Amino acid sequence: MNDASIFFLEKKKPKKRVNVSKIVSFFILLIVCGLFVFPFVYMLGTSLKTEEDIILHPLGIFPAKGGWTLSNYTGFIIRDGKLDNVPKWMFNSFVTCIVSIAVTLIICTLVAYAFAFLNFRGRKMLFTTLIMTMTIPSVIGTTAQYSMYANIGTLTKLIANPVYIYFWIIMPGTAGVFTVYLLKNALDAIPPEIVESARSDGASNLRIYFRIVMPLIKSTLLLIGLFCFTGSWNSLLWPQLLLSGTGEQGYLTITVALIGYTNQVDGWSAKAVAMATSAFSMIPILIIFIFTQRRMIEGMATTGVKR
Amino acid sequence: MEKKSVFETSKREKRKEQTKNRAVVALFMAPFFLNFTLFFLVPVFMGLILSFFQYNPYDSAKTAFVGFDNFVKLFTNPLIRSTFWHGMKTTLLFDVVAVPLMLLIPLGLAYLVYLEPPGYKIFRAVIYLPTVVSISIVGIIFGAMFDGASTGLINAWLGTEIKWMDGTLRWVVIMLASIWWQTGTNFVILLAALKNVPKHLYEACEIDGGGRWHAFLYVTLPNIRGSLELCTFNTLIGYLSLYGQPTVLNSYLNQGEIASPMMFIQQWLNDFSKANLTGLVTASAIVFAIVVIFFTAIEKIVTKDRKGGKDVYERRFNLFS
Repeated sequence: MNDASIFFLEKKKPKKRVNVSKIVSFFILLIVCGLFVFPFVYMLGTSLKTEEDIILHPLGIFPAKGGWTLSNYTGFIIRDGKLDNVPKWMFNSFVTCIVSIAVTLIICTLVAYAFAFLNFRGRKMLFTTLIMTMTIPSVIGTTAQYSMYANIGTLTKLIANPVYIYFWIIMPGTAGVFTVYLLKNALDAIPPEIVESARSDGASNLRIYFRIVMPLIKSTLLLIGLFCFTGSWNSLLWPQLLLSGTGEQGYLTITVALIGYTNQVDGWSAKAVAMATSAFSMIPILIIFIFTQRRMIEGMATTGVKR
Repeated sequence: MEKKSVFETSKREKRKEQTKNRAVVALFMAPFFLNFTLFFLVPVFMGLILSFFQYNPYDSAKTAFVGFDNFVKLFTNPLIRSTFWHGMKTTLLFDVVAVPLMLLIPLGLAYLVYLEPPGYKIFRAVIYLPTVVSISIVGIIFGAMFDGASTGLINAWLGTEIKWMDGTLRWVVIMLASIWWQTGTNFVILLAALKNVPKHLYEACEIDGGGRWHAFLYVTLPNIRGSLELCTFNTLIGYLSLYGQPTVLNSYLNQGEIASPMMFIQQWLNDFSKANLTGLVTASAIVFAIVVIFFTAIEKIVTKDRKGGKDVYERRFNLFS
């Protein structure tokens, strides 16, 4: 390093330079976030418009003066004195999410515990093999899985039974190898002495699993639960495949049902209702997002992806 | 005293202990592996076999072995060319643009948030928010914004009547929707990676007279490569398996068009009149899987760490390297 550069370094006030870049980044992010928020604002605004308003004042995001209405929201909750389909769809999605979170967490934590704390022959090899199966694209199994569903369904005459369909919607995603991998990482971070000492005190493995290990990895469990919730709430391809054959509108999940509002004719007029339904169906996920977004975002930093 | 008693345990007791241990291991492993076998291993294995059969899931009595017939049909049948291969071509063309963009945009935004300007936590949340929305809602919102009539929002603003959902333009809309919907995932992973870069390395770089660009090139990039690789891998697989976006962003008249291999598999499986062709669809799934493996292998070779420093993530996927 020559003298000039030392002079340069001393002269410059690093703090000031940082501030300039902060200001630049602030304004760029302000524009980007404006663009990112805009579709939500548009959805909300349109959902409060009347059908005529959409045609007559397409320029405005929000309803014209005096055109504000909540009728798009009330229509789909109760129709003709009966519960409409939208609450049913949301209920179906909720059940799917809760059951798949429960099954995922139970089976994956059990197996991760076995890999982390139980000694048996071939443990390492089994784990490596399991991890390697992640490179097999699961699409190879899609048709066979669907065939299994259709075949067993035809034989047992259960094919249109909602419980049978939902069993097939939920189960295939629950044995997640990546989830096991994340959980094992979390379990490996627990000092083995804790488990050892509990064992020498005579605690059974199930007791150690429930009382000691699970409370220690609570944050990982929460994170996996959250990703499982959004994944299952938003999943489209597989549920759509299984639900399309039922013919019963009330059986759909909200994500599959809302597909009915896409790909419309140009100038379609049901925009307001579509937007209101979307906004309404976003409420649960939005509530979860508001309360957990910090944990979700920061959790990604500490779970799984180190470096 | 205690040590002695351990040594004195009889053989019988030892065996009893062993059986008990095995039972415990089985108890912990069984639920997962039962599920994994039934819903992953069996279907994948069955898929490999089904591709050599003519098979109808609703009428398994008609099952017949046809050898490589399904694969031959896959490469010669004109209908397959205009559906499956058309979808493959469309998806690959889209991915050439989409995959780099879906890495560069999140990286750029992550870098800006990493500088921690005022309110960066809000910016971070806003960029991540669209990822929790379902694809059908993305389709509804963008479909309404880019409505082809003059009353569509963008057309109204521009005073035009552009048919957004036709031809190449449709893919521009799909690109915009994808950026909005999925930037957040890679963004948070890369942001976390940026935060984990040791600060003293930047100081060292500055003392060596390196500017901001140098610091990014020689300090930031090498230190986030693990995460960058993970993002590349996930994005590549995700965009090869493109399904949701072209399904929800389409014109009403064009709904039969197959824009990706996943759409082909879905639509043909769903079509009761094509139930007889399940073997053929399975063969197409296998060909598609080979394409996916091919591209991920290339990705793996290109981004391979030549210094041989391996972390847990690399060990996981180094089957190809």
